[in-house]
Amino acid sequence: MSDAEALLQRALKREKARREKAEQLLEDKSRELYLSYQTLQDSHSQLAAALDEVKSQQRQLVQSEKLASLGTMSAGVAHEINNPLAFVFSNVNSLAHSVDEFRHYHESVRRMLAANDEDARQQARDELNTYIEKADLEFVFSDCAELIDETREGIERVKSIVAGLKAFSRTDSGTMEMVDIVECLRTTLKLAHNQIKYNMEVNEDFDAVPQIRGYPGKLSQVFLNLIVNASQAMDGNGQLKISLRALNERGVQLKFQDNGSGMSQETMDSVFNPFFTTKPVGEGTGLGLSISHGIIEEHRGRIEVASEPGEGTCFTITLPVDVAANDPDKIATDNAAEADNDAVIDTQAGSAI
Amino acid sequence: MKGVVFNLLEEMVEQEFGMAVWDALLEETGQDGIYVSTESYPDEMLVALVVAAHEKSGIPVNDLVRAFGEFMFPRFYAQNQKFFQPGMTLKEFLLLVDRVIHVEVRKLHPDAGLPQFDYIDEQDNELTMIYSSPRKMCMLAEGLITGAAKHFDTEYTLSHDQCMHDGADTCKLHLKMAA
Repeated sequence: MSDAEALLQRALKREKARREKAEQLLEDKSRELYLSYQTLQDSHSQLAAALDEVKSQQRQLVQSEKLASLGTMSAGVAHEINNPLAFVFSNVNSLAHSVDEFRHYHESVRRMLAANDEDARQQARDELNTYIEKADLEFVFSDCAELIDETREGIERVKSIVAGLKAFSRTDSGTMEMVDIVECLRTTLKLAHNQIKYNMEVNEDFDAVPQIRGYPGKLSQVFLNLIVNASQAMDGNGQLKISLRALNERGVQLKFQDNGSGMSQETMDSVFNPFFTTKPVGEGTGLGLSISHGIIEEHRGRIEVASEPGEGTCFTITLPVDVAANDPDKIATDNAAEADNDAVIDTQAGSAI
Repeated sequence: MKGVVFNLLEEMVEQEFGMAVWDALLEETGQDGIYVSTESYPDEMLVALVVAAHEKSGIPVNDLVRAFGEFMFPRFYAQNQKFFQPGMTLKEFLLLVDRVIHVEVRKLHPDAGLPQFDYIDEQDNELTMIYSSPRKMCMLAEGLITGAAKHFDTEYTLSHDQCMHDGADTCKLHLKMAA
């Protein structure tokens, strides 16, 4: 073999060895890739399972927060129910007494009708007249009508409080329904009435707005949160102005403007964070506003806060009329033409605090 | 040092001096010559090959390393065209070396012992590249810059005022490019 041939053979041998090494390397790397792909798939399914778990816990958390706020309201609600119950009870006692009077009257009339001769009839007639005078039956008649009206009204009050409680505490079904925001606000205010009546006065400034597609129970939970929070920032002669405006045919805006203690920028930054609370340990879960935020997002709406320490706080909620069809940003942009009007409202709200 | 560098050295030696010289270099240094581009090999193996080439050719080591850098550039360009935007200048490219190219290389080869470049960029047609690497292969950097300048068809002068081989912490490669 010539030198040149030997040289080429050595070079060829090196080339072959290099190729074998490279192929081996490729195989090793492919195996490594396959194994990391499997590991990734495993952790992906673990993460997916964890996400499902978190979602289900979140749903439970929303429900238990709702029940917790019901708990704190229950004393007030009991009082709200007790008042009408007390006068309904007293009215029913009075009505029972009136029934006795009527029975006595009825028996006298029967005796009179059953009398055989003129003397006995005359005697019964005299007795009856004396009884009518004595028992003041005219008054009893008119009083009965009043008692019955009052009793009906009391029962209506209890009925509406119970309906409110039911609407609030129910777990919303999976599908959204058409919600009348004004009705939802009024039911919520009724529920909260006893809890807030000594702290603040509520001014309702509701425009007629279109119904929106949403979860009434969840929206009521948001409103209750904002109303009760406002009342807790008050020292007795607070004002909460709740205004409701139609932004355009595609959205509505609610403002909850109070003249309470307000909050610092730092508090404002964290106010929607879960477990953030300024209340003493054991009094606030710190979940109310974070859950409210989640509920409004679920409606593809927006909730924003503006506040000045010592002046008051304003929560603004923007909700699309139809979750599926509208984008809150789009509503805001479309509404730019109406910005002047809104600015007037804002200025008024601003000067109120 | 990555196998790809050995492969390029082999290519250059074979192109410039012939297959027999490369074969002789391997024999003299006792290496088998089987380098896979993505694998790492001890730096000493490369140094031994360069020293042997110097002894064989009589060309100073620095000149050999500089020529090697220049030879490498078109090969790097062929394999990494994605880094070269149309209309890019030499200076723009040199600024990308540390900020983009080395970052990308480290993603694929976390163990690659790349040098670090800092830049002083105060004048339009000037650039100071501050080189630091435990390998002290500033001559390779000089050669790569020459290759890059040829690619971008840019005239330049380079002064290597401060050098790690003179005991400095870093090398300063000051470039003035023709406008």
